Amino acid sequence: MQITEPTGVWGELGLRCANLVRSVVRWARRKSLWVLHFNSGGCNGCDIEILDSLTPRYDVERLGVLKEASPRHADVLLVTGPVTRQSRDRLRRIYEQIPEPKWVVAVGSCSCTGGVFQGGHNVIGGVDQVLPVDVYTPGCPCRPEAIIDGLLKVVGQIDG
Amino acid sequence: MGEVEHQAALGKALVQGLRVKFPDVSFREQTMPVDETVVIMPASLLIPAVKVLMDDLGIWHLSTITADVAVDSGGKAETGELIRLLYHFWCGEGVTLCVELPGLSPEVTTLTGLIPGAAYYEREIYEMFGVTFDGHPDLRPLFLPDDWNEEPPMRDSTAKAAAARGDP
Amino acid sequence: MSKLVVPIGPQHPLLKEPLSFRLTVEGERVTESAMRLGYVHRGIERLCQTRTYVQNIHLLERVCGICSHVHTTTYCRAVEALAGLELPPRALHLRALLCELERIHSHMLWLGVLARNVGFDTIFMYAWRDREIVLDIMEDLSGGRVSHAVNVIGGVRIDLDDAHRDTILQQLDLLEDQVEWLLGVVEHERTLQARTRGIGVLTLADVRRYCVVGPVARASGLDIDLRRDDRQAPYDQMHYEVPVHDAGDVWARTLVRVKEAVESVHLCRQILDTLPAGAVSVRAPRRIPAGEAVTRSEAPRGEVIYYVRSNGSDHPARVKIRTPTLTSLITLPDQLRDVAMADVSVVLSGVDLCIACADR
Repeated sequence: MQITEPTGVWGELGLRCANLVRSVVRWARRKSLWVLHFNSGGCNGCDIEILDSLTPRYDVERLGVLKEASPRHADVLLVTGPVTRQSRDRLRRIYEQIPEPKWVVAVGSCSCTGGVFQGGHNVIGGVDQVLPVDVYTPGCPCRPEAIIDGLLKVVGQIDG
Repeated sequence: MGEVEHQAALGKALVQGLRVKFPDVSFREQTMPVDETVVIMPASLLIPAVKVLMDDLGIWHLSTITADVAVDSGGKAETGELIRLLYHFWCGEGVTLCVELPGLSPEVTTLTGLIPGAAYYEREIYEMFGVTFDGHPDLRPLFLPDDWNEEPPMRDSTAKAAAARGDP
Repeated sequence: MSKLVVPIGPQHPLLKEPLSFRLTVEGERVTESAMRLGYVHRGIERLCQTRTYVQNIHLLERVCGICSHVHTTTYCRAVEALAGLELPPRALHLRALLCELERIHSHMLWLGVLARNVGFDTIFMYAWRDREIVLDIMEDLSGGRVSHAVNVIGGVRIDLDDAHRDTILQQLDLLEDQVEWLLGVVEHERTLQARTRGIGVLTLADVRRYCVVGPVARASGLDIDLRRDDRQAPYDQMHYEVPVHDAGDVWARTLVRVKEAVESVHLCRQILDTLPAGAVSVRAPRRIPAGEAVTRSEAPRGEVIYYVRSNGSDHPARVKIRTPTLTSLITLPDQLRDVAMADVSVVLSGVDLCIACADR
């Protein structure tokens, strides 16, 4: 959102302040990506790799990435697994609860395309059948390096 | 070698016990790899047979219940279909009790009165195969979504599998 | 006191998998609990019927990401029994090696999750740091950290030379030190005991009634371990202890699991020391003779059982999987009764739930 039509000296000052605040927020967001993890039907393989990327060897916290428990605090939704019929509505609801701006990362082959579970009677398919996906990170299971790479791609998409 | 003889003995003991208790019923006995005795019996005899297993032979561990569509009808799933229920017990060796139910409205007495651990297995078979378990305390779907309004997904397995495969 | 229903899940910070609970609480105490499964139900048993025996190995490895190897091992054993294949001893040893590594990896992962849920983040970090050693060994062996794709029908597809074996033995030494240190912490750390003792108790009678398997059953005093009781090769030539405890609470389960991890390190070393020479696989037919087979294995969470029926084609006619978590899930309403709200997370992590396994 661009603030338009400044009037007078105070308006000019207001515009500059707003732009300054915006660039600080952008900087802060790039330096502290808070992620929410939801398993929409996966096999646990990618989930443990996501947890693994928080632990000493990979330690995404050094990049400012923090795993959050509530959708309302999160910037990024990490989805693992294909979307099952029962988790579809829940996934949508979680996505709606995340405040704008938000990004969705599909972690693992199943969440990218449905993967090996395509054709299952309870499986809808990849996450992009339900939500707009910003970053796809393939792999079965996705390695922590790939997850970190996916998160950095999100950082690259943060404008400015 | 002694172990193997012991194993065979346990399976035999079950069949012996059943033949003594129910002299006018015919049991069929098979073996399955690996070291598994299968006793095929009428559905009405399931509960007494489990009692023999538990009380006389001290086998109380029900590994699981497998349901299976018995007749491989090659696409014509609606004719002559049977539902087989395999109750896998284990006590150092496997003993499987097998009952065969008609494909149309299959129904059998629940095992939950004797083995409460059977509750989830029976619920799963109820939703996947449409088998009704008489006297089950909580016969609801276990895994399928609430808005599932199609037929039990495992029932027409052969026909659907052939279609889904689509191999030349 | 008025009743309140607290919904937990399916998205919640306790477990990394979706499972939904509705807990009825009076004050701080849980009086009733209802559970909803099926968020991860993918219909794997059904999918198995549409794929060939070889394709199914790939699929069944993805029943569960934690104990992926034991699933394919059990499945392959069933198919091999149907095909009448006799496996070379080296293949059996390598399979068992991966099984034991997987057990260590699973138990350390679980210890970390439990520690995090009781607020002991140091142990979470330490356990997961040391778990990387196991993952390194598995990655060097198979190329995969979590899914290994090691099993083929008729054997395994990996092999190792003497130099590689020595490297693994060195890594195991380091691992053993770390796991034993963790065992010391679990045994002596009073804060951990304060949160886990007397919580989520299952008596021996409960365990028998519900046919519970694995570490949960062993922590309640039921001495059951399929590696030993089913006389499976190569475990029949190994020396190891099966840890059993009789308290039946979360602390007992912690002890049993960490002790099991120590025993598994010993087992890995024995397997490597007695590794027979020879081939690692035999040739398997594409079409499997008609018949049915049942196989059981001791997964990290307990007995996993596969039933495979073949109709003579290259597709199985029926594959039934029963995973150990399903047996523990049924005990949760009992364990959660009269537990303080703050201890719910401890009870839930104590049984080591794997919802992907349970839902399939």
